[in-house]
Amino acid sequence: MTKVLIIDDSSLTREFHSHIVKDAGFACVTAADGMEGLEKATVEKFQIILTDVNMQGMDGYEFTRRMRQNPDYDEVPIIIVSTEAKELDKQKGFSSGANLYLIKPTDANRIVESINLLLGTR
Amino acid sequence: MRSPNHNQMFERAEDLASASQASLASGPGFTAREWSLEESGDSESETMEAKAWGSRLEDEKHSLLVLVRDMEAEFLTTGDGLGQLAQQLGEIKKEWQSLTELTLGQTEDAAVQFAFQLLKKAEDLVLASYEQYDYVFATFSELQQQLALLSKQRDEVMTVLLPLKFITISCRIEAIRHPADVQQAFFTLADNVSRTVKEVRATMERQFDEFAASERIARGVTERILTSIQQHRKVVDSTLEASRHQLRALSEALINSGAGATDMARRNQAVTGHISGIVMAQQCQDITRQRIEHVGEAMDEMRAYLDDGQPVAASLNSDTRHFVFQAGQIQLQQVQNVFDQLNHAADSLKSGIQNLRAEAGAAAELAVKVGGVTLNAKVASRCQAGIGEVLGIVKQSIQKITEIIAAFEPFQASFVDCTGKATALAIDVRHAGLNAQIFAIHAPNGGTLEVLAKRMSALSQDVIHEVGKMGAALDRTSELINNLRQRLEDFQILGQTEQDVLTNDSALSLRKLADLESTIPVQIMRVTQRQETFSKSVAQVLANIQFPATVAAASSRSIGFFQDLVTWGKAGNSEFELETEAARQIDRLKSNYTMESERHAHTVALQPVLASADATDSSLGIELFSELELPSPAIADSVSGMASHSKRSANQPHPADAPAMSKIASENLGDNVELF
Repeated sequence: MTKVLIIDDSSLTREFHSHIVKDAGFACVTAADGMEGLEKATVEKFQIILTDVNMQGMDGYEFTRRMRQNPDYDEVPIIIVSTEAKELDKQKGFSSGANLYLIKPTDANRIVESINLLLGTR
Repeated sequence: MRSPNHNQMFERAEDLASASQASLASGPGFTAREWSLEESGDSESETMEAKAWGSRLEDEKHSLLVLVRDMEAEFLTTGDGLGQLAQQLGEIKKEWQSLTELTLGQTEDAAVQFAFQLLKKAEDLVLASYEQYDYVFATFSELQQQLALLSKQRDEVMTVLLPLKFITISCRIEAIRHPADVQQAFFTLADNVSRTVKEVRATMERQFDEFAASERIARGVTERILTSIQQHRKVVDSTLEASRHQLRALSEALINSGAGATDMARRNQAVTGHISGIVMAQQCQDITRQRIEHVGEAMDEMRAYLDDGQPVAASLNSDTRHFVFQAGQIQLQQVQNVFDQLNHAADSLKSGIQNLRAEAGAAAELAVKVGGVTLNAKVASRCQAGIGEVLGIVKQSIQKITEIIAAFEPFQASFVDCTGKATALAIDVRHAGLNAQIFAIHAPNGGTLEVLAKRMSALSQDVIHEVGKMGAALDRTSELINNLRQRLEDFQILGQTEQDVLTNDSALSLRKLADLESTIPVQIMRVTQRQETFSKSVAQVLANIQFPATVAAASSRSIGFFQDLVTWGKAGNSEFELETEAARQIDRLKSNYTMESERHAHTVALQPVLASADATDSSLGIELFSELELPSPAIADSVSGMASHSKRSANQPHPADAPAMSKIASENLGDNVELF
């Protein structure tokens, strides 16, 4: 089963995204910030990652950059889901290595559609 | 970016909560007017005011953080509830879908269609039996004509036989004039002929009596059938019509139920939409939490300035109030923005809740109505009864055919006997005539006798001829009856087979209808109950939502607080030099702890990269699919929302897919921006 890593400091958002991802038939693991996300990604392999940007400890940009340096994750799709809607934020996200930048709030269909798109399953 | 001391803020807020709230509750709140410089007058009281504002800042910060925490806790709880509702609704939708398929006959070999086909087959069979009856009537009518013809021919045979009687008398008279042996021979001949004629007559009479009897029986059966068929047809027509009507009613009830189920699916879709709307509104929590945390940190700075940056007993630094005024304005703006966002979310949430509650309630009510249609109609049972009646009619039709065959059976047998006997007797007469002729030739003076014998032979020939004619008529009649019998027997076999098939089919149809009648109401009742339970669950989940009321109260309190703070600061009527620490701190506040500051930080961080991007056009590592011709500014704009990492995975979209992807990205990002 495809495993999704969800990183967000908001427990509400983690819950919300977990629900969506599980309903779509994926397995998921959550982390509260980039550092915890990195740790979990070393323990098990994920096929796609959803990460917030604004998090204490390690933010989403840094997390994405670190993941891209990891040979196991240099090709794994990463979706940034952030409240930051400015063009510069998106550019920063993409330059850190993200594949898609979604702006919160996002609805369930959009998230599932994006995951499927990046996994090539639709 | 979130502040590192976020957790500490909560802890400190908790510590201060009781004291500050007690302070707020115990005395009248300070207002800017009460605290104006003109009214307080001395510096000590001014310092006290500053300290009190510091305390109130702490309280307000605490309240804001509690709002954030409570909001998160409430959203987690309701989010969980909404998730369960969505799951329940998903199952309910599936049940309605299955009900729609069942009621609208989308399932294989639907009961109603099958029953309609069964009725059609039964009707065809009954109509075919009517055709047989029509044939029987036509044949019977022809048979009666044949019988009339036979009767006429019998009269002709009788007419032919009469001269034979006279000629025997002539023979006897003529024989008296001859010797005893001749006399004896001709007397014997006359006796034989007379007896034969009598026998023929008797046979004919008997046979025709039998014809008449058979005809009466057949006519009786036919007339009875005719009467019965006339009544039968009325019954058949009305029964078939009634059965069709029942089936149509059933079909209509099912269509209504199906339409109801479809309505339910639509309503439940709307319910799903409202749930999604609420979940979307709840996502405001993430960004507003960050903003409030930033405001909280700014409030800490303001409080520190008020508490620590000024001498306690000395005159309040004139910069202080101006600082509070400036800093308060910045935070007032921030708080207003945050509460605008929260109030907007609260409005969405409120309307979502109202709609969800109304829609779930309406769905539950509609479910009961939809259920009532089929549950009360009981049409399937009536359809079953109708099919039973039609089958009874089919059975009667086949049974009547059997009766007709039995009625014509003696007819056929009597015709064969009659023809054979008449012909044999006529041949006997002719033989007798020929013998008499030969005898007369040898008799002395037997010329007259010979003439009489010849005449006798000729008459017997006529009799044979007439009997032959009658035999031909009898054969035709017999053939008529044979054909009728054969046809009826064939139909009987076919009808019986069809009846057996119909009986099996009807058992199947009855079972299907019974299933339909038992399945649909049960399923409707189950889904109706679930819909009602869902409606109650919705009410329970929604009852826990306090957010709109909480936000309204917090909004007016917090904005009022900052307005008072700004007013108090403004009343100081002072300014500070541009290069003072206070001025620099205000500048920092303008840029710090706001989302703007983060953007600035990002801009600064990206400055060299952007400059280089301008030069190389793609060195950012952001592929803008520049090799593609983008059809419109909208799509071009959307492409900025998509970029692929330099090492693209095999299963990740290729730039060649850009038009499709960019369209999706355009919709996604565009929508996202609009939504927020």
